[in-house]
Amino acid sequence: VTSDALMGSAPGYQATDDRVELSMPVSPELFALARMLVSLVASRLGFDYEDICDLRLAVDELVSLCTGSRANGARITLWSSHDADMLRIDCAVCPVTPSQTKTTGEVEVIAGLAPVQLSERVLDVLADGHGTRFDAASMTRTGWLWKLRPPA
Amino acid sequence: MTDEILEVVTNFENGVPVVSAGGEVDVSTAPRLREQLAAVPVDASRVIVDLSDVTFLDSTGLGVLVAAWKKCREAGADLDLVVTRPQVAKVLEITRLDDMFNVFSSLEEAVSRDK
Repeated sequence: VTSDALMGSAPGYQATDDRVELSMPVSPELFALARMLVSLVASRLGFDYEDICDLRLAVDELVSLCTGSRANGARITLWSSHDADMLRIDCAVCPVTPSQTKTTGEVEVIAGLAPVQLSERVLDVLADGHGTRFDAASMTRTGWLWKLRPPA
Repeated sequence: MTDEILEVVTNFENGVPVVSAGGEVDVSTAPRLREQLAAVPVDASRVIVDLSDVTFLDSTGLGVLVAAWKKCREAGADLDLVVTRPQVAKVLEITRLDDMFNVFSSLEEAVSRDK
């Protein structure tokens, strides 16, 4: 999976050249790096403090959805990019299997929602668009979110 | 990194166990909060979780809080939250868990809650 392929999944999206790429093992201790990445980029693009907090949480939930609960040995790569209208975060986790879905390890259902639904609800509210996809051939789960940039 | 981004301690205020967390609660640090909550005496009639110094809380952390809430309910106890930071209040609101917990805006208010 290449970043170009991921970017191609967004019709009409024309990313600038200053994309940032972060690749790391799927290790929960490192997920804070994903939040740091989006904080830095969003700050540079003029998002306010509240939006940056929202993006930090949204990226955390996206990473959580994509890595599942047992992605040992896998790697996650995140791409941050933007155009005039939006900030976009893409991620890809490989190798994973379809059964590696997110669980909290604590409770299977929270407030009537499975953990996956809980993450999706957070993303529904905090991002302007998001999604995930599993490709069986490459054993890769990809995810993305985007948020509209504040007016200049 | 885990040791540096979340600190959890348990104290007692007027006999009420208060689990105070400070830092970021995510998938890597949530087990520390879970362990601290599991160590709270089961005979307590209520437990307060002070999230005043929590700067980040994700759905994994929420899962820990919900599990603790269930355990308390089964033991006939309440689990109350102290939330002061907007970003923590927001995730509770988004997930509608603010309806499940008693949420207070200060530790003093939570401790002095009428039983």
